[in-house]
Amino acid sequence: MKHSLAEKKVNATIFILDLNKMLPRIPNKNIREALGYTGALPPGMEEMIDTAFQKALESCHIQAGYGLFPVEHLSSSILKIGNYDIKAGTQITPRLKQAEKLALFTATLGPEIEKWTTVQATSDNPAQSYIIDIIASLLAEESAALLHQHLADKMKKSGYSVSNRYSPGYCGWDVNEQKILFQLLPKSFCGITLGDSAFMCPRKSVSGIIGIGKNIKYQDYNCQRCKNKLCHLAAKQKELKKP
Amino acid sequence: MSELIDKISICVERGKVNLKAPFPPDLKEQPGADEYTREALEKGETPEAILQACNQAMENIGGKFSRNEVFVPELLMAAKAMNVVMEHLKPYFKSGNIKSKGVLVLGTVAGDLHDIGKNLVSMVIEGNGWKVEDLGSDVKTEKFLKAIENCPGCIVGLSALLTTTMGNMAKTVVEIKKQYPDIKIIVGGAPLSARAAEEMGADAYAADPQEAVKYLNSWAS
Repeated sequence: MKHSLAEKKVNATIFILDLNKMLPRIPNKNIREALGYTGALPPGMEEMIDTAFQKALESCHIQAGYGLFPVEHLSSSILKIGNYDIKAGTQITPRLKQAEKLALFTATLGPEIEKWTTVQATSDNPAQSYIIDIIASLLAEESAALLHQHLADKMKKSGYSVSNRYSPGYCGWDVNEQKILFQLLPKSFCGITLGDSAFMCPRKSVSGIIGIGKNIKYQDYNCQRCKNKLCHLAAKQKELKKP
Repeated sequence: MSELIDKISICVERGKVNLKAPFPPDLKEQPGADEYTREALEKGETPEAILQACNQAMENIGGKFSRNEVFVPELLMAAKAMNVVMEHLKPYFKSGNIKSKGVLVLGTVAGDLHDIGKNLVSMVIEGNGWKVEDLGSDVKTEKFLKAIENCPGCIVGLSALLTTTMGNMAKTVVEIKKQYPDIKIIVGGAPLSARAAEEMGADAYAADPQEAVKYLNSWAS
């Protein structure tokens, strides 16, 4: 659908995807690793993980979507959409040099899952809440990966390629920049709103940008190549999923 | 240590909360920390002896966590079992029969909503006999300062997960030290390190909850 953001002087094409029909799959190995287990699970843990996964899936109502925007390059650290500067930083911006358009995307699991993810001593079962929280984070990231794949397939038909996906809060991109992304997207896009500190509500949501262009390439970028050794993703040596 | 207190200690370390709890499977359908603590108090065991045994149990599980022998789910179950024991002991804290080691004002810094690590630290530290004033996540400096004003002599714990919020943590440390130079500050979270803690002016960096307990206990003694 064509979405006119006249007051912002930006023309965008907005797409909403129904990912509930293609529920993200999370390999059991990934869940174990995210929980810290690299060897054998302690007795009873496998059952606990299975129960948590079922609860997480039952509470997921995935919404995902993106807007396509023409983009300009202002400098080695700033991208421009209409009158808006996106200060993506020096790690991300050069990787989008060949982008002719930017897809601003969001994906969310919805609010219902949050009732299971409060990890406190007063929770009935904080261990299970923790496991559901970890699974929900993996599901949210996987939802973004499905959207990424959908976009890559769609663009390929027109002779375009897509870049990696990048999110505020990571790769040196200030989390406050999330406000700009949401200003450019329709209000409460996919049911997501931003709090004062630029955090998304529902919490299990992902937002970011993907570059689109005839000459742009997906790079085998992963955290091991990043120089920021302080990042928690680098610590886990977590690879971002390739579309 | 009496047999009953020994059982409480085992339940805490292994995360056996109560009779209903299915975990750990080999203790299924057996009483847990809840039932044994009630029985121990009824039979005249002192709350101090129970607390001491539980503190040791938490130290044991915390040590195993530091050595990667157990992971967050097991630590959380132990903390939950400890929390259940503490519910039984609460009246003795209120009456002054047993005293907490001190107060930790704890929060995830402004701009960061990640609270699982912070909550885990809170549970383990409470289980070690400290009172925790948990300010939540996305906590602005002013809120920390207000809490310090209300808890003279407290220690402050700051948590962050995002590299992009470490700057906010540094600003909070500087402001707290400016107004309360004697207040001890301990920082933690995935992007932190001992060097980063030192550079921002914090007194200590804890890589895991047990390390935080060690610092707290050393400052309290």
